[in-house]
Amino acid sequence: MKAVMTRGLTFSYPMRSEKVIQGLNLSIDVGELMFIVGDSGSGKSTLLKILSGIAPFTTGGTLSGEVSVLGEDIKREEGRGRVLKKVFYLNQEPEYYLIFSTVICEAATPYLESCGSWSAAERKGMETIQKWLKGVEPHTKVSHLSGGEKQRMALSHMEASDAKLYLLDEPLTHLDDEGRRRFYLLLRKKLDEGATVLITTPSLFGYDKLKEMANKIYFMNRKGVEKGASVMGGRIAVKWEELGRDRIRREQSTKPLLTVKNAVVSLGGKRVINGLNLTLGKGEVFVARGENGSGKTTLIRLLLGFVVPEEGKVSAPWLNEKGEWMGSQKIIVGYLPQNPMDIFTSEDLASDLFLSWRTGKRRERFKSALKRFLTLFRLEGLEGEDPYELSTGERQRAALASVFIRYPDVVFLDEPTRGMDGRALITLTNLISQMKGESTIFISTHTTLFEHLSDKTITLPAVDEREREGGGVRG
Amino acid sequence: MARRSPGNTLRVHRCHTSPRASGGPSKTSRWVKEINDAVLSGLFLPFAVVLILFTWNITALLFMCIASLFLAVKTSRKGGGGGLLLYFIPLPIMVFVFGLLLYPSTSEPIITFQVGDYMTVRIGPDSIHYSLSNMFKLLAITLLIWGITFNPNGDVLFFVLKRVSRRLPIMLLSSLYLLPRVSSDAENIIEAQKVRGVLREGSFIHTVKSRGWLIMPLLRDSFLRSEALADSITARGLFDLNPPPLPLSRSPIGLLLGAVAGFLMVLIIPVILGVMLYAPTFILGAVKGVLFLLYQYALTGGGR
Repeated sequence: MKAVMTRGLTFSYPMRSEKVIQGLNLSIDVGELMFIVGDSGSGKSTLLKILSGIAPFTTGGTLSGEVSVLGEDIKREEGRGRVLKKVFYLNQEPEYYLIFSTVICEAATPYLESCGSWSAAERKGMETIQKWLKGVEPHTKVSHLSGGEKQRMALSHMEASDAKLYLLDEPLTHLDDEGRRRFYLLLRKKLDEGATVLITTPSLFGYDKLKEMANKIYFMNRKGVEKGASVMGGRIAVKWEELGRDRIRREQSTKPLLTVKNAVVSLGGKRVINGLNLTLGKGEVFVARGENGSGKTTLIRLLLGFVVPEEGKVSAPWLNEKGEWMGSQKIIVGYLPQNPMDIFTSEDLASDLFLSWRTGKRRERFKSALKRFLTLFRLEGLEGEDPYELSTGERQRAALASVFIRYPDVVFLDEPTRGMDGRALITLTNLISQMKGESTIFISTHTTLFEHLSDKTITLPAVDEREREGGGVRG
Repeated sequence: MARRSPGNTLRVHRCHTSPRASGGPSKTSRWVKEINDAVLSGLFLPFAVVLILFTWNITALLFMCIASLFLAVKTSRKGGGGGLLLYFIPLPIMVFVFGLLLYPSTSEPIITFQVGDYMTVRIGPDSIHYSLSNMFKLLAITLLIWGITFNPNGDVLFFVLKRVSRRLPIMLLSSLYLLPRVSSDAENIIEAQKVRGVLREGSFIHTVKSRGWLIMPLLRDSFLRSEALADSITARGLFDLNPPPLPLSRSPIGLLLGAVAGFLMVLIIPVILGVMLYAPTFILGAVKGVLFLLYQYALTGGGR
């Protein structure tokens, strides 16, 4: 029996003539684990929305062709209703998947129907928190969890589900090693139970273990899916030299740009950073690694002056005496937040990049800078698009373009690999390797992708380790 | 990871222990609890929405504001988001002023004056009433949203899903529910824009101008989130939850009172709709407001 069968599936969103998916033929047998790998914007997420019964019913749009999920015709209302109960769909943005405000409500809700009472569901929810979110208070607000913790919370719902088909949109994006290990075990269990799993991802980086388990790996582009095709070919990166590097005078200085002395930071009564000492020189690449919830984002916010240390001192040209952000005329600071959407303020990408360019070094005229960075991050033709309408990967690349078009002296990148496809990852690592020695780069990540480029690395202790030691990040 | 911390622009919200906490609940805190419970019952909101949408009666709306204010006061002590309210407070005042300017009185005006060559402003009892109604409506909505969305005592959406599994309250609440996230997002956006050099502190006008950059990402992000939230609610099958029975009062008098009040409310709403502008029945509004509170009192079992 086929778990999923599509013939000539075509879909377009309302008010858009462009077809997101065109003539897609797909077949997945029951009990299979299948990967769909594709560049951002290729329609992977839309496909999962269609198969889960969400699109076009809540999103609007036009769906044509044959679509059968678990033997039900998804285009019919009755079929869709039955499919909704048998399918588990995980959005690629965990913060959008989670809808309740407290962790305990999120953890207990999946068990409410099976347990029959709130108190029984709450007990199960507590077990879930112990297992997936060790060290997190049950009444913590979901909005206070880190990206990885939110992803773990969402994946815990998969464990509680008894669905026949699991549709997972980039499930490993925010997960650390421990989270991934838990996910592998869960996936194995679900496959052993006879469930079918379809995973979409922009690249297979970090999916080594899962690749071994997969029955099929398909590659997707706007034209459809193709077995065994490669998404890694083609032009991979524009050289940094082309970005005007020759015009930049290299300044090698022994004086550190940023110094942290015995910094202590507590959040919500817990010590996140404990006696951290750190120096960052000009042109250095610093990588902060750590598990989900270990305080990577807090560390960046400390260095940027948005968190003030209780004890100790942080000195940098962009900070005032107290260690608060004040900006600097001489040094251009770039910051890629964990959610790239925090960057965009304009209705089209070109205007947004103009805004960034205007506040940057303006090494070259805007038109040539725009062309250069659109090409570098493969955003050609998207300059007139609303950044909010872009796919997750495109949005991340656009945010990176917005950071780098300023030609920053110091760059802080918080989880820069989010939603990035293979080519974009290569572009980013190439860019960083070429900027090294010239700009100071601080990267917080849970992956090992940038370790070969780093001059200094810090590994943040895990939450339980931190509790055992009675403190947070030490350096 | 617990977040938010004292930064140069960040507000710190700490839990304050009330001195009354150890000496038993005061009269005020009991009322607060009752109104809070009423919200948790999941019925407060639909009734409040009906009240806000369909009545122009100032007294009834004033009751609504008071009820919402209790929630707002309660939440401001414990939960975050208080700062966000400051952005909304000027709006009702603006609505009042624009109401006076744009809706000329059709009855005997109290004040008449000329603005420019073409516009004559006529302020009379009916235009004041109309503007005040609108102002109180907006104020009630603002306080209600604030009170509900930042409620630290429980997950309102969860209780509504659990008790009143109906599409309308879920959709209404889920929209309102985005506000705390908007508040948290606002801080992240401010930080990102400061580093980007777009948001700079300076003169008042400069600050207001630069804060304008915040509105667009906040609005768009909340739209995006509401779409994604609708997808999640659908995908998670939350519409299919079987609603457990409503919480009923233990007291027979409370039950009777609630039933009578509810029945009267149903009768009164069309009356209010019928009289609207031309007969501002203040007494009727007051009665309605009291009945509204009693109804909630009965439904929550006297604040159990």
